[in-house]
Amino acid sequence: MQDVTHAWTVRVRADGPDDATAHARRHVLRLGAAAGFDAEAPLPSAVEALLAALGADLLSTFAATARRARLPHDALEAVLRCTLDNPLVHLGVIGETGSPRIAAIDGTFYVSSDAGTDDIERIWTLTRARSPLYTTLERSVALAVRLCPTP
Amino acid sequence: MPLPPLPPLPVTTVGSLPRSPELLRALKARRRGDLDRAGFDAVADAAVRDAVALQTAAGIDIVTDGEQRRDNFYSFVAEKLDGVRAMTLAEMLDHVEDKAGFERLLATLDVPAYAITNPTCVGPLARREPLAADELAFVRGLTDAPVKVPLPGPYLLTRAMWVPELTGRVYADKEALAEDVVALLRAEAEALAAGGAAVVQFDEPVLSELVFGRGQTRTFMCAALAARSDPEEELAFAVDLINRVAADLPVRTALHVCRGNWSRDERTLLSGGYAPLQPTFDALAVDELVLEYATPRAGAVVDPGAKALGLGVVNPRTDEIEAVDDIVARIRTALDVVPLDRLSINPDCGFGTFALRPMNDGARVDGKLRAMVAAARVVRDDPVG
Repeated sequence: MQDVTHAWTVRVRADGPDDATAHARRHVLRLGAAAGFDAEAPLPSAVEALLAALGADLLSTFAATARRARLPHDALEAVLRCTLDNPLVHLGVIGETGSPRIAAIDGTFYVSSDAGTDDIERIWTLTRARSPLYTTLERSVALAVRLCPTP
Repeated sequence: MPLPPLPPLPVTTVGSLPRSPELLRALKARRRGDLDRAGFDAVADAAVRDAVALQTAAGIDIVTDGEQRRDNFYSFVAEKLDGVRAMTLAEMLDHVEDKAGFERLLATLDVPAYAITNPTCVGPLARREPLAADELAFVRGLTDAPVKVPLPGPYLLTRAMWVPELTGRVYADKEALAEDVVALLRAEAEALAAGGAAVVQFDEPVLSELVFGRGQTRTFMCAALAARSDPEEELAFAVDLINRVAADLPVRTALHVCRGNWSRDERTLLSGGYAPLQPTFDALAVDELVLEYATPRAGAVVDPGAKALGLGVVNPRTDEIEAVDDIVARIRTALDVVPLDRLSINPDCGFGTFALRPMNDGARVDGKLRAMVAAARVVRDDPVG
């Protein structure tokens, strides 16, 4: 069996109270607060980055799986939302109890393809099974991403 | 401008009909660059023949080409004009100012940003080829029936095309862009008149958003683009543009205003009667108003004054075929406001405003068209009932 063990490293530096720079290999990402509540915040929050990472994972895994299965598609798009159990705990509001953990993630995975719905659903099932982030998160969070084929 | 000789209460459509799977594949292949113009036209020509045959068999008096060649009712101009790029909303998210508003709109309508294209102005506008005169010529070769040609209205086009970050490099402001939009549409309408169009219909759905949109969910993608100033100023701007395109054209002109046609979920569409738009309608130099009245959302029939009224009597977004008796009742109610010789009958909106998101299938479209025709015949024979 081929050894495909690998580890990934990201170094994250604090640049300010809600400003962090992450270095991953030769790439740089800038992120803001842990969970942003300000619509005008200059940087995406860590929670949004997690959703973005899950979305990118699903898009990439679907594309790779579809390519292997020779399933043609014109466009892919994911929309993901999440809520926290109790965001006030994260904000440190006195008297609040519970957890600031992500309570649920839901969303839609759009696929534009001329292929039949059954074929698209088969690729979607494989995608979820092969996605590192999806398979990790589904063990700890109520995770419901709906497949939506479009013309 | 009068219509050619027709029976009273002529029946027509608002323009679009659903595309066949084959045509959708061709549209997407053309967009990808995998199909040349000749190859696309071969598929589209056949689709237009089918669309005209469907309308003719149903007894429609004024036919359209079903907008079969268009990917949606306004973005198709990108292929016909220099200086315009068809951008998906996914691409536009990089450029629009109100990104959060855009996201709310997309989420409400449950739509992927890749599914809608917008004609964005990225250079000086110039007519590379006719917007619709070639469509008209093809349809006229298929039928002797009067032909209606829908065009995006000048206010809609200006607002959709104006993306400050991109268009501002070319035009000083939205008003400067509008000058070229007006000139292009006026020239096109004159060409359509010369080509024998019976009706040129300008689609201006965003007018309803201006008066109904406050406090309601936005329903028009293009309305989320240009920053909104005072609605009254916007309406005056719209009237000026429309009148400069439509006034004194040697062809019958119509203006279509609806409340959205993207979703079958009525909650996502605008609600409210047309009364707030009455002063705007009164100021418009068009022959006919084409309005939706098939749902309770539309309120009471407005008095079109000296204009004719295209009365929407079937909902393009429902499975059930409206009962002929119900349509007859709607028409007779409208006759209390509009005389028979100034009334025509149509669906509330297109059946395939967006090619990739048709609101109905061919069988139901056929049923709804036939129901309108049957109802018109009843009222012609007995207007009062």
